[in-house]
Amino acid sequence: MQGQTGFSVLVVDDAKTEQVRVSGLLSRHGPYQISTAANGVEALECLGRMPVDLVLTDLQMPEMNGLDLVRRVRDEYPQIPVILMTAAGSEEIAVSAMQEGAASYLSKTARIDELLNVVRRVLDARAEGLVHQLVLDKLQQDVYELVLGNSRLLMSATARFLRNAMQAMALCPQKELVRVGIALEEALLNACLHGNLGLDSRLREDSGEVFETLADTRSRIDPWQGRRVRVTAQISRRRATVTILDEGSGFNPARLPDPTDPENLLKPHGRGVMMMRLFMDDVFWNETGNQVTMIKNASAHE
Amino acid sequence: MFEHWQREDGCDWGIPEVGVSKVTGRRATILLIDDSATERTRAVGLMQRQRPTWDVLSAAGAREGLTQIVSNPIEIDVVVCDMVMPDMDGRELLAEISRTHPNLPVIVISAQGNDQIAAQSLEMGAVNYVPKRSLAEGLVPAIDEVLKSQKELALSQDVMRHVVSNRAVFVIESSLEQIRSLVNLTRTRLVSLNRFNSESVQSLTAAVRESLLNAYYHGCMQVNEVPMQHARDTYVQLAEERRNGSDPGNHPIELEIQFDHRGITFRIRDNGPGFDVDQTLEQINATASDVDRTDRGTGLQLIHSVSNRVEFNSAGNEISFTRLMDDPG
Repeated sequence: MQGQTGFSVLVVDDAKTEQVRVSGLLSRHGPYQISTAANGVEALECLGRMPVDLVLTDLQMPEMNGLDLVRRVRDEYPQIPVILMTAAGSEEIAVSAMQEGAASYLSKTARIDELLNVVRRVLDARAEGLVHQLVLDKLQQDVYELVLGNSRLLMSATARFLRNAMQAMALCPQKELVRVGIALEEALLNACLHGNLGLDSRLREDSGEVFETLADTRSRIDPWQGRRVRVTAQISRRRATVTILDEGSGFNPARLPDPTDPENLLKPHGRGVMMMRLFMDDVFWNETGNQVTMIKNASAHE
Repeated sequence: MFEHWQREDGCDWGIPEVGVSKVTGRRATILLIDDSATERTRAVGLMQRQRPTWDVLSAAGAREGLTQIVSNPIEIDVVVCDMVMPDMDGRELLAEISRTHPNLPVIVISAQGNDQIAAQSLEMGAVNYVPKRSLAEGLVPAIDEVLKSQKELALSQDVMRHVVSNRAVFVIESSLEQIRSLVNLTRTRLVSLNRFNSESVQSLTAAVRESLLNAYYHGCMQVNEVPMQHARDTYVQLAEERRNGSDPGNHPIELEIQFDHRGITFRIRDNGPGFDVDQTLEQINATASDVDRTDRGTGLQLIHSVSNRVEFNSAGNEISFTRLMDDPG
């Protein structure tokens, strides 16, 4: 790491002799400053108190074992890699450890050069990962134009794609992003079903299956099959603006039934638009009603 | 209104069929590689019983497996292989697959209860490890999980195919580390666009690196020689000399990547003083047209060799180069 004189390594083991052995090995063979802890609980306390670059932990410990520590560190200190070490060899544990987020796995009887290699490899990967994340945060603007056919799968995939692009901009917290994704999907489905395929959503009330079959049939024949949905998404760190244009004849949003009226709550008609309005900061249509614009602003505390 | 946009066939609303991937329209295909005939029969039988819609292929060794991967017209979705085999061991196979087919997931199985093999194979890129004694209950769920994330990947690639234009702007600090990372990001974005072959991706990425380094050395470090006339080493040395005792400060470097049906344009800008474009452009272009590919030489030659058009702004602190879509380059 640039400008760093050494790495801070936390060695966690309930056996004092092991602590001394590993600490000694590392501090003699590299720029490592070692701290020690006797179990997972103590380790977490240490992590809370001081900056640590790497954790090496035993598996079997009282109070909190190594695998639990791996999980806790992954959740609370995702930037800090953990290497799990154990005397008893068992591949299931190795696999669990890696899948729970351990950076690597070492046997206590591993040779010195293997231990040092793994430690250095993990630290290098961490340094690179940190810079990578830093540069991802340097993305200022991402603007997309897409042209889509009338496919349900493509609509939900596109909604997810755009939501991920907003996530890359750290526009708002995960929970809000999920709702934005829903709003986008509703808008895209509307553009397909009601816009391009010209299906009245009242049809959905009667029979969902008939509705789906009709949608599928129309999507394969003229004039509906040639119609496209055009999406423009401008995403910056402060705001995301998504415009969706369909080739249908448009509609009048003012004539949708009032979705807050309890009578209409359970009706599919208009519910999509209600969700769009709820989850986005601003929603408006062009005069024809075949183009909708949705705006989401960055969260205040971001 | 929409005339010039791509039309595609077969884009229907879609009522999903069981067992068929809607995106690709074909069944999941698994390749099992194990040198033991008994083991192969067991594993294949297991998969076919629990997942009758899967297409299960098998190979008796690593080389046979690799041949199948390369030559099978039906794309293989997941590889399941034994770690220990006579002709090429599992580790070499893993390395080879991640080199030639980086997006092909491999699940490793092994009769030997060895934790080191397990951890190593995961570190080397296997997506999962199932010990043979747990095969009956562990193999199919492991494959299910991989297929699910493969499908998500395929879906996002499908969306990328429908992108008709994209503009991305990065603003980084004058740091060699950030430049290296940004170059990697650029490569990733170029790959995901799926419009350029890997050779073009490499050369375009190299051109971006040259431009970013130029922005760093000439713009931020203010090595005010005419840029990209000499080998980079000269400038690096000058920069080292300049840096001793002086803080480069924070000079932002901007990278814009603009892509549409016509081609892709990279624009790199720094906030340095630039150079006298009028006076030196002739000199630069004269050198650039004299492209000698055997000479490692100047960055500008590299940029010219990958682009159809190269431009500087009048202040001399911004370069943009374009690669047209139909140009085989």
